[in-house]
Amino acid sequence: MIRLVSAELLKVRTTRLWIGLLIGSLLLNGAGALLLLALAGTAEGRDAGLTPIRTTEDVRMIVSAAAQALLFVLVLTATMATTEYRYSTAAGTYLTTPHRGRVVTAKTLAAVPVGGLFGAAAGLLALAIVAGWFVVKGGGPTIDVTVWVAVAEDALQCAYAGAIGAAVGVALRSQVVAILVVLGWTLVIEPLATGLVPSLLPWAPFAGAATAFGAENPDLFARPAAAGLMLAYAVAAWVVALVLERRRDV
Amino acid sequence: MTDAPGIEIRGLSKLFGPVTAVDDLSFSVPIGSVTGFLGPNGAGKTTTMRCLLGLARPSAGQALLTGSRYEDLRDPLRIVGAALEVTGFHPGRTARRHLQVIAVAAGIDAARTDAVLAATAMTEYADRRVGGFSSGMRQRLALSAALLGEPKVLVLDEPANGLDPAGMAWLRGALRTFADRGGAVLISSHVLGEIQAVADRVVVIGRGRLVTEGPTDVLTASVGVSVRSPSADVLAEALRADGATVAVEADSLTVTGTSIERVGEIAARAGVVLHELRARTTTLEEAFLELTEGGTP
Repeated sequence: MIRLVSAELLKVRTTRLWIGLLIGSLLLNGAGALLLLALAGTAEGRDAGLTPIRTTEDVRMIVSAAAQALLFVLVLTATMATTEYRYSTAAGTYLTTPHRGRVVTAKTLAAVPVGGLFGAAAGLLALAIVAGWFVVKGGGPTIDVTVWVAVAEDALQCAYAGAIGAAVGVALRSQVVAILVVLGWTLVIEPLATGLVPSLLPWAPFAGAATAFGAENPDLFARPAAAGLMLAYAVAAWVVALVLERRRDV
Repeated sequence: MTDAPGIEIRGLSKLFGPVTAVDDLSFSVPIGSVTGFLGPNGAGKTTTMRCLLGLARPSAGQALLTGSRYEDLRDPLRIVGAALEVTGFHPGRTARRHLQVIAVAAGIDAARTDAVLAATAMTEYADRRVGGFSSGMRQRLALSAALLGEPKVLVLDEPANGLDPAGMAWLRGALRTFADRGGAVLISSHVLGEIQAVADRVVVIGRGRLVTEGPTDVLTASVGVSVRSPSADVLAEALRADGATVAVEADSLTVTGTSIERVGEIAARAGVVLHELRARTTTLEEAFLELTEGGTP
């Protein structure tokens, strides 16, 4: 399995999509953090509900927002499988490893560190921007362990998104459909469903379960329960991908 | 390696919904042979190969490699090397990286990638992205991947497509050497001249069913004697008197029902001058067209 996971990671590393998406993710998150810092405390910021950044909890909130990188992770990891069908490399993959379950498992496992890398990079960039802002402006809150935990939580949420994205890619095979599904789910379906039925929020895979590892929110499950739910969703996605892929011709 | 044939197809059928792509097909590819796999477009060649390689699930029957199903092979790339039309490349990955991905997954020594790139004359292009490759270079890379695990059996679907004459000559030599060293090769191709040049045996299928299988030289065996003579009518008379069937066209005779040696003897006895005397053989293409009622290979 280690060999197969290494091969999947090599596949990701030897094309340029990952670096493009990582840069895109960092640019978007960096711009978001800068905008937040710039607006917080101003009249416009107050109108938008932003309070001045004064406390460690405020810094933690900015770093937690970097978990939005999971959108880019979902796209990248969904394409880990779909590109195999887009470019007909799936046949070569299964010639090398005829046991399809092992391939699906390796893809899902390989997507976890890929997602973790994106989340950690986005969290660290947000933290660096906050630190740099206060170096320039002077003063600033203490960066304590809770902020570093927020970086780790960004990595965790994105790692989880990686596993889900890889499984969705295997299950759907079509690149366009897979990308539309992961983005449509996170950007349209989840917000719409949890807006219409608020009691669904803690159960939502990304807006609920994953977000429980971000800012404190009494409407969400406690972290141990949220972690269990995330694991259940990831395993369910993996099982669906496994069952579908084992039955289909290549 | 067991005593089993390199490849054995037993009663294989594959249905896609109501369409029968392969219908109770059986044949084998012995160790030490190159077997041409022929059939018109849509005959079921690629589907048979996909079933053989575990990429498609047979509806009935078995497709075995050295006695085992592909999915049961412990180290498949060390047993079977395959290059199918359905195996592609990521255009953004270099040739070397493409092979390295396979080597890592299969646990093959990374040094083998350089060896197979050299064997297929691809070293010069190893660090170029596959997206810029010609179809011939892609074929060579596909063959590199097939040879990566030093397999005992090769399954090649249209490997000559896109190859230039030098590439075709190389492929012919490589397959012959591979079989002579105890390998088994199943090769489909539209280039029947290439198959005739390299294959010891042929398997012809049509509409998913076996049409014929056997040694190439039997399929292309003598079908008569061609003779040219300025005294064609005299010779024709003498041959008919000997019991042969003769068709005359100007100074040419087509003789069947006797041997080339007998034709020469009768001509000598009749004192007839010959300008040409040769055994008529059918080409693989002619045999194929006859067997498949004019289907495109």
